[in-house]
Amino acid sequence: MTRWLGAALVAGCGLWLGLQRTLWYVRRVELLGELLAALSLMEWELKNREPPMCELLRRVGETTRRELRAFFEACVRQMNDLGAQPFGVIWQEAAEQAALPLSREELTLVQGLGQVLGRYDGESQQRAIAQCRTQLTARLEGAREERDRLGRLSGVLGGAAGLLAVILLL
Amino acid sequence: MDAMFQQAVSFLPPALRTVLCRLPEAQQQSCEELRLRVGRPLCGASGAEEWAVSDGDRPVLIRQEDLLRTVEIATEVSFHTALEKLRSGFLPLPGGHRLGLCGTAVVREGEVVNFRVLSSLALRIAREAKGIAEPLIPQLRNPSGVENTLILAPPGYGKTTLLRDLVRGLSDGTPPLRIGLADERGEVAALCGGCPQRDVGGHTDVIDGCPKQLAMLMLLRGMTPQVLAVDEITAPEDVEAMLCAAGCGVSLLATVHGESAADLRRRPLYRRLLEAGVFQKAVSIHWSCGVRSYQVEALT
Repeated sequence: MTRWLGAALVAGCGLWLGLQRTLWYVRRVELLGELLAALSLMEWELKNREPPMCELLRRVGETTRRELRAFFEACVRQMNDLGAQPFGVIWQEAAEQAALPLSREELTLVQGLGQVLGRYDGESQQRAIAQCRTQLTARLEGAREERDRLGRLSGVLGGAAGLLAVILLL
Repeated sequence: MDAMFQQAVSFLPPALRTVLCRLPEAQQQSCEELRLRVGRPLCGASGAEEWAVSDGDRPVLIRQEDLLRTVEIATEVSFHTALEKLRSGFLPLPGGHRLGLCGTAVVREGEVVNFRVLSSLALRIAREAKGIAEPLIPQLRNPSGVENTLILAPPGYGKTTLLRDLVRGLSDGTPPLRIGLADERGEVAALCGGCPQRDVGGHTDVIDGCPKQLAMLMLLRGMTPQVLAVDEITAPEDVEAMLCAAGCGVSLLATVHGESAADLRRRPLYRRLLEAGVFQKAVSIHWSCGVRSYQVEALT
């Protein structure tokens, strides 16, 4: 009985890991979409209202969900102690800590914005955001394709790996 | 620890802040400006004198990063919101302090949009010097209020400080005068949450963040002041607004950059103002051996 229970646990673990990966692909596409909308809003705000950075991030954060919201909120929170570290580092660390479901390249693109935001005139910042948005839009296409191709495969592979482990262990 | 000094250095990166906070209190109190130049030692300044700040026996050398961090802290990572103010010379900071920037400017369509590289910063520490205007007030008052007065001195001599104390002295004087203060850059009263952070007297109404000429009109129409006070007349529009206000039955107090009344007469912008006889008195500020002195002279 214990043996079968253990086997079920191992198989379940494999399946869970596979599903986690599938979910990551799904969330990545969702998050890229949310991120693009957030960047559009930032661009619009900088063009039309030019709000201070803290207000801008708070406003944009309110329009997002989960990890992305946590990211913007962390930036705003840490901006209260600007003397401790530069904004570029605050932005970079907040992106790292929010565990955004993005590939390393996508994360680097987002983190790079921290070196521009608040440091230049509004127009230059808009240009940097627009450039980041263009690059992320191109990545979104790839992310959709990967979700369709690898998302389901990851679930199947996870389940299969679990079953294989069970067979080997039994 | 000198409170104004402490507030001003809070705009600097932590490493510089720590060194400056260790300075003897007397030095902190006498410090009027902090000068940050890339590759050079951090300097304090009192009037025309500059002295290097050292950490133990080592001079504190300024790096490019220190300037960038200072601007980031001072603008709260919002360079785009500070740009307009910066274009007119310097960045006003909370508490009435101000930050001047130098470096290689990036100009787009005739306007400075950024600095490609910063080379130096000047952090001017706002100081209140209560009572400095007391000996001048009897010389400036007339039966109806106060003579139209120009405060003139070169940059850094304390024109704004004197104007603030003059406003306070007249506002709280006997009889008190109702003063409208057009504080475009927020240096005189340093309004925060509607309350002046500097003592400008109990009968003073302040408009800040608004171009002087507009603020003067708003004060005239809305607050019926007996005296209109303005810091730094620098543009033709300011002169125009002064000429308009002069005929409205209010007394005027204003500051200008200049050595003396004769110096102002040589400059076309102010010549018109003086020829029109708008101002009756001038207070010039002199600096010698670390001590300021004030001289009142008649202009008409």
